[in-house]
Amino acid sequence: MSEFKKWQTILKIVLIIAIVGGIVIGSAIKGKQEQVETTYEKIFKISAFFIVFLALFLYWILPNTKLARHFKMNESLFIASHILGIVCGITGLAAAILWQQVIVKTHLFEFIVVLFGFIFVYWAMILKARKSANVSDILDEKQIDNIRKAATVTLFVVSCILLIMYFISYHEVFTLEGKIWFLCYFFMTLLIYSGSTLYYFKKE
Amino acid sequence: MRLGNNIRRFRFDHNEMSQEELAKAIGVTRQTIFSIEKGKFVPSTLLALKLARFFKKSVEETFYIVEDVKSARR
Repeated sequence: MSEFKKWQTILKIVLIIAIVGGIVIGSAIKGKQEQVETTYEKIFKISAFFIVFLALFLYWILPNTKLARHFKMNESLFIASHILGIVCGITGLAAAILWQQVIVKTHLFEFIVVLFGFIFVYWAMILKARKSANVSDILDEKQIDNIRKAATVTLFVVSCILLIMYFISYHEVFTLEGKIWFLCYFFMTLLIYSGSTLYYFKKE
Repeated sequence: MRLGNNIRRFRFDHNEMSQEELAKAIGVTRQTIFSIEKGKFVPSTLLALKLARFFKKSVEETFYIVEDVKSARR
């Protein structure tokens, strides 16, 4: 089986497990909750399902059509993707720290991530149109090198920052709610990774 | 020790080709060509061979080692 077909098979299996697991977990959680679902929650869930199915439709169907020949990675898309990552990272981080209650209850986190998610659905569509499983097939060697360096920098910097935040939280100078820790980690990683990639791409 | 190159000169000798045109011909981004010309990015052997082949030159004619002042004094 070619690497591309292997990757497609793994992706399908992971997707099925995620959908089934999500339904099972959702039902289990719903069974324990006593509160009535608000209209906002209902609208959010319907929007979320629509967005997920739209992303899946775009990924599975469009690369098999004639439009696929227009799917190309270029310098502008690479730069735009990482600028979007920076914007989403800053927005999410600010929202997570300043509006801890709001970002979780209003699902603001998911809305911030959706835009960024669609850019990378497009990257996946380009890969599928090229019948390739390797990102190195759509990026040149300098871009791959820049991404590797950015990933290393991100790992180190995010670990240091979270360690500092832990000590600050331990001494109760500034505390974050349990759920907010993941959002801070996610948006910090997104911001530093996208910023570093763009920095190395432009400066080196 | 750095890697120098004659890519910019070859580009101009080649009907004043732009970095963008060269990048498209080789299959890399314009930024990569810019970084190579400035000596900020060292291309892989494969990319160096592609660039040399494009200009119908040898790799040694396209790239060279720039000795820095300290190693030159030694």
